[in-house]
Amino acid sequence: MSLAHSVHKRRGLVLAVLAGALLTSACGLKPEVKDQLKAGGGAVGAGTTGGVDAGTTGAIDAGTTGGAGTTTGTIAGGTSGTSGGSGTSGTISGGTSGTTGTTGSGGGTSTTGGPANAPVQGQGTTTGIDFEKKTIKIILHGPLTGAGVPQESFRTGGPKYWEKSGPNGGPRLIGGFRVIAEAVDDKYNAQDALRACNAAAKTAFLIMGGAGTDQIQACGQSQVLRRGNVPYLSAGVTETGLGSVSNYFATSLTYKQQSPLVIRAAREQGYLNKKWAIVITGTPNFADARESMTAELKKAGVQGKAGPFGDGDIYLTEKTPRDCSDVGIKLRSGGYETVYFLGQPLFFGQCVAQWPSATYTGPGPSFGIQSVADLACRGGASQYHAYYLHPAPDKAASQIEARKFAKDTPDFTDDIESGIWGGMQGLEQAFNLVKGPLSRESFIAALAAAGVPGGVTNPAVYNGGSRFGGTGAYLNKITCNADKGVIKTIANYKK
Amino acid sequence: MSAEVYAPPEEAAASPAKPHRAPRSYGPIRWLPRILFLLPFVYWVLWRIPNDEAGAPILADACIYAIVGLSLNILIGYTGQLSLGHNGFFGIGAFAAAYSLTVRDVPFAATFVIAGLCGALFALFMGFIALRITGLYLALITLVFGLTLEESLFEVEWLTNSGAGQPADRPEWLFDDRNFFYFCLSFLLLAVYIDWRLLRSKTGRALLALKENERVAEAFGINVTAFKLLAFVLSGTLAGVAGALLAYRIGIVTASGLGFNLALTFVLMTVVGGLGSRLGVILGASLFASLTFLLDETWVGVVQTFLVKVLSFGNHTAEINIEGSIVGFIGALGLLLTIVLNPGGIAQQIRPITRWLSGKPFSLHDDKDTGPGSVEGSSVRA
Amino acid sequence: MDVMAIEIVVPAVSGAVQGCVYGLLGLGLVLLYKSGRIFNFAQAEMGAFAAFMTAFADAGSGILPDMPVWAAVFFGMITGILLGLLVERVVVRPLFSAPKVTVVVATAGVFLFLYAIEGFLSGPGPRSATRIIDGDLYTNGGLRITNLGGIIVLVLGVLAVLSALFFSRTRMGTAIIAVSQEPTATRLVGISVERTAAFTWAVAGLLGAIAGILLSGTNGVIAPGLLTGLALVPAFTAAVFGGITALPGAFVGGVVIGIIEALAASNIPKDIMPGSGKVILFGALLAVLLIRPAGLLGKET
Repeated sequence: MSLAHSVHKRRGLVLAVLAGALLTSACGLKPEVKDQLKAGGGAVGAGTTGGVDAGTTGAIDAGTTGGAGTTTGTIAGGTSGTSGGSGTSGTISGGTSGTTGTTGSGGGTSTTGGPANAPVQGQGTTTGIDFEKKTIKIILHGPLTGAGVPQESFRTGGPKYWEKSGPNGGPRLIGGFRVIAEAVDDKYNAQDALRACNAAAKTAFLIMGGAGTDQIQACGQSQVLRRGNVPYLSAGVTETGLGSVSNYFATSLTYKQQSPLVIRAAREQGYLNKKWAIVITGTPNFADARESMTAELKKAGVQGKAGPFGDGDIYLTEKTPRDCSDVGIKLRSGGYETVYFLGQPLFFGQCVAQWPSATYTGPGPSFGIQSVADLACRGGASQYHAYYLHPAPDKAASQIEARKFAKDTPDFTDDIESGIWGGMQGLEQAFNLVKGPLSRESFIAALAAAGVPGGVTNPAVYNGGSRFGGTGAYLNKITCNADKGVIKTIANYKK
Repeated sequence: MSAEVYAPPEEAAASPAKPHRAPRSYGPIRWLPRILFLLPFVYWVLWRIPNDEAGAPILADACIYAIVGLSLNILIGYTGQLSLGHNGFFGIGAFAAAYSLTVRDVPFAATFVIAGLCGALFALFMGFIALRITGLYLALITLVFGLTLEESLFEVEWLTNSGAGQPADRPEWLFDDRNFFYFCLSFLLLAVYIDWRLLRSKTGRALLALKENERVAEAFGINVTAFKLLAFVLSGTLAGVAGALLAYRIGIVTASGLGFNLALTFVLMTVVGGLGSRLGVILGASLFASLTFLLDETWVGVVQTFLVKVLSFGNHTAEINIEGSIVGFIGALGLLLTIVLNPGGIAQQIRPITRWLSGKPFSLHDDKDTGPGSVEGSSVRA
Repeated sequence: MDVMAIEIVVPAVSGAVQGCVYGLLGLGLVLLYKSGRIFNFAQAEMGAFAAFMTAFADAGSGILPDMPVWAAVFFGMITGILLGLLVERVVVRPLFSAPKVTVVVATAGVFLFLYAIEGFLSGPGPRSATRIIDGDLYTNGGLRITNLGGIIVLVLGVLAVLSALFFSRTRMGTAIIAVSQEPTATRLVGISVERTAAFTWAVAGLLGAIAGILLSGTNGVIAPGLLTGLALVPAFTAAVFGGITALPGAFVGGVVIGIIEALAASNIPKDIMPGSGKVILFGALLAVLLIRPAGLLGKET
């Protein structure tokens, strides 16, 4: 890079702050604007993407059963369940907030003993549903390769639920339809994730995010997903740019929501009043986690390297492998006793290898805690010990919970499988919320107006107007036993 | 390349002297079988695949890679300057377009100009370096350049949003993937046209002379400095524009998608396609752009399944691992086989067909009289 | 220790240790350049491959027996030598008369190939590297030199001396230099060009293996492509810095580069200049190539 360019960059920094402010406000604005655009496009008849289109068809079809199909979607609430369903699809595609949606699906719930939630051809967007084979395809994206901890379990977790956890170890059906859960590779980076998600939007009914904040955020903000009304569910990660996305649902607590719980865990487990450091990936998607955690630490009055915890105790890491050893060395030379770590598993291993004697802690969507723990235990000479939050309890506890719900659940191989299994359990509950014919629109409307009780995972609630619906997280204690990580759930924290 | 480029002197001397021999004329009718032969391809590429929801984005990828291939070909194939840092030019174009569109609200069309300019600027910088540093050292410095950009500039938060990525939303009329493919295709055609004009011009001949021997070229009055810089700028511009297309193709740009492996993939596809051959490079690029898709989604996947089964000895874990790396394996194998056994790449293999298509009688023998566009072999020069 | 010392001394020491590994890789690069005018872009990944093999042998995965650490390291070194021989025979020898830049592209191909093979064997994710030795040699406040760090310095020192002696005192060493300068004439006086090339690659493979195993040991984890991202550019910079044909130069260059990189990376904040270590390296490499292409210790050719 030329000198001239780096000088230019510095000057740009000031402008960038302004531009950044503009960007954030633009981000807030954009969805609305885009949605209005999209609704307009739909009315003109832009094929499958037009939510309004779908609504109209729905209403006309509903005429045969409901008779009141001619009533407009929003008023249809009380009159007929089916047209209520179609009404929601209209409002969801048109509006952004959940308020009108609630009215619509209120109509849905009023239909007692209505038709099962089986999809019906021509009623709403039913991409990914094969009416001949009677299957619903859903796609889960996760790091099958790349710097995350790629795991076979990303592939097997979904089928384990849908194919093997039904009665007598058979499939679990949604309105008589089998669910085909496929995993696609996001290579642990946002670019490939978005590529995969946009492709998946054309073949799958809905998409779920496995792990990885940047990847989930990129897919959550996808225009293709939003225009296609593709329901997108993920573990809670960042809140940046996802708050106003009409088709997005976080199924567990976001990092920001978990910050107070991290403090609570530290207080109860007795490592709060130690020297703290925050090690976090330097991406804007972790800004909310970083800021909330910093605020919480300052509020709790904890110590940093020298004196009260301050900005000098926050270490940003990047994708450069070199950085992580450096950060590890700094943690050691700074004498930190507790480290809040949020970042790539690969780097975590490097950090721990340099400074294994600190207590590591942090929030968790993180699937793969077992393999990360194994890595850290080997690299850190078995001194590694940590407290991490996680959407699901440890493997054994998850197994018990799962069998309460579906007694023929096969054994889980690791925490990724149990986590995905728990996610699928919530998904089935969400499918069952839909009272009319299942479509992408009716699914989003039904879920947005309610929540799911969970089972393996804590309940998720969306009718409060927020899509970050997680309500609790499990605290896991991680220790080493001869190079192997041992994970034990010690508490279930409610928000 | 050994045999082909160190061609026996009589052949080398003969070929420029030989007139561009026109085949015996059968009148316009001789074009008929050739057109009939091409029709199915044209139908599939221009209509059948673009209308497939999964196929259209892959074709768009192929166009983007092909533009990069042409860009790289100008440097390696024509001018003999090895660039292992093309991910840098490509990436800066992608980020420049995404940044100017999303953050600065620059009109869509103008973002391509900006991307091209940024690519050109960085390439100019590299060109100045190439004036002083040549051969192996140039290869090294370009490689380090690409790696450095990936870890430094591409991680600058205001420009790239670090790992979160800089979004780049397409305008309404391009939202449909089929339209976007045609959009990319028009850029590719433009690039092909530029490349074609370039080779037929004095500049093109000057570049080829540069590749053969800089000192001799200089002795013949060719302004080495100017033409070398021109080659870099042209290459950088094309790569930058291709980067912008990629940004819109995916909708977001991140540094981790633009790393060292991408730079090598670019070189790989160009070499496998056949350095110096426009068609070969385009085919090679398309192949690499669609390799994952071909292996996963089409009947070609049989090859993958077979390879995976053979390599894994039926071990399940091994099977999973192999599936994850098979694309890279096939690519690397293709490169090594090409360099060691088949230096002319795809272009050399399909030469009988291309020659026939250009109106000459069909023959399996290579008559070496294929114009300046088909420089033989992987002739990257030290 | 005061804050200033922590900011300077700690990264400098860790950088110097890391720099020794760069020097080892650089030594392999210099050797290959000296003997065949080749830049081997796969050098770091060849080391990584050996490190993977060591980790497999250590963990006893696949068909390998569960070996003790010393045996695993030995096994890794053997794979390094075999890999060097294989690359020479299959890729480099057929390209004997091709332009050197073609060979360089081929070594990039070897990198990609190894990357894929490592993915085949280990899966594409990170894996724990072999812990060769635990414990500290010296600690003082934040400053720590591990036993492994001590070994690294020792190994590099010994190898640098050995290789210098090798080129000045042995027939094979002289033959390698002869081949690099006049292949045809060398053949005429009865030295087998093929044999010397094979020998060089075997030694380069061994050096790469040692570097890869040690580096993965300090790093704690290993993944496909990780060592290339970590060490290839610094190793090249070290080799060029010290003068690409001078063996002790790579050693000095490696240590200097390691220190510079560590100081830059730890003292320049990320939000001002991300990847500062790499930027400094790029600048240093460029400056050396432009101002003094023969390197600091090299002779003008």
